[in-house]
Amino acid sequence: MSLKIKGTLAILVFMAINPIASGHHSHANYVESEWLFLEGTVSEIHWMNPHSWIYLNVTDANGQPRPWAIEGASVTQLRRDGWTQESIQVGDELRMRCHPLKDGSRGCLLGYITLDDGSEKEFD
Amino acid sequence: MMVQKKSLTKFIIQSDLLGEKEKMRPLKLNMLLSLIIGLVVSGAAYAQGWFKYVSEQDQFIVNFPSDPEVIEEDYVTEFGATIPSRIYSVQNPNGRYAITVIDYTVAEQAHEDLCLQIAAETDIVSPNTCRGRGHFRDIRGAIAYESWNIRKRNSGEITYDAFGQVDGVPGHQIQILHPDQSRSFIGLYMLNQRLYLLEGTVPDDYPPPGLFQQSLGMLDEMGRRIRFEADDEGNYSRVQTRYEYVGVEDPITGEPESEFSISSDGRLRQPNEFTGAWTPDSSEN
Repeated sequence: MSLKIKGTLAILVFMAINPIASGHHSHANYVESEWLFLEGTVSEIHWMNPHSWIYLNVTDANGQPRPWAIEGASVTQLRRDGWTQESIQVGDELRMRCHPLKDGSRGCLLGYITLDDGSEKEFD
Repeated sequence: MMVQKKSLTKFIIQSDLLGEKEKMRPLKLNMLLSLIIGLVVSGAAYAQGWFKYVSEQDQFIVNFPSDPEVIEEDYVTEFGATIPSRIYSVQNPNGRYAITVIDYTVAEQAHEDLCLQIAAETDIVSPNTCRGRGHFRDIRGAIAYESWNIRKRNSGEITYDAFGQVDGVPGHQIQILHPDQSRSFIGLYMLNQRLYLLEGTVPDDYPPPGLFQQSLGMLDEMGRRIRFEADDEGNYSRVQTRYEYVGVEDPITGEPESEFSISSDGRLRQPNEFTGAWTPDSSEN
């Protein structure tokens, strides 16, 4: 067995037995069976634990920019996934795929952010 | 103040069940109008600078936009006992954020006091009040009772009203849309006979306050995050968390730089050491 395969297996076993892999809070107030595609401009970004948040100005059907709260993973997890504080800046235009809040307010659970090359990268 | 670098160009919304054919609704917008409106809205000074606030006294950690004002108030339980509460709150142009900690740890004594008070004022004392079990009812029903109080405010349309949990601690979430289009996101959780009531209210032109509502962590007497996870049979037990440290974190990496970086057996933990089932230490025996 190659070292690469052993390493992959070790990671899988670690993930299987590691009880902390699940989220900090229930996502019950999000519609996890639906995806919302959003595009807008970052007005604030909060790299925090237990969750990071992106505030995104999204233009609504009336042409009005409306602020959304987008929930992501902890900053610790994001760092492990390769994100840094330089990855997203205030003023950046972002496209993303996320789960909307059940109550119809402007909140969404990431999800994925679309990169410049069109691929999606997990932010949760 | 935030400066928008680019105008908003389009909005595409897509909301369908997975696997079904997707609908798309692209909207053409007046770019100049968007830029102007965007700059005006951005001028609302969306305050940055949220930080972790820790209360060792009330054993919680939560995100606040600035240092909260702390006041103490009496709280009357469902069954009439008076117990203390502390309200930690921040009011700013972007909303009000408050966590109220209602201290049921003294509920038994409060019920004894209530019984003595009733006995002094009347000859008739209900056996339900004074048989020494009233505090159990109050503690078990604390979330339900306070949720009822919130609904009774009748302050707007309740848009969400359901079970929720934080770190495996069961609770309840209520979300309200007020007549002025402001929104309240509320969470109620109870651990170790303390009821934590979080309420964030923001105006219509500000993002919903999930950043506050979803940030609660509850701590043990040593300041460590408490977290429970379910096994395959749904039995919950305490586990260690990767963010159990309540002190200073590196603002970039999120890794702990804290005197609280101590494992359950008293060792200084490595920053990337976060696995393993919880083992109670001697202080909890």
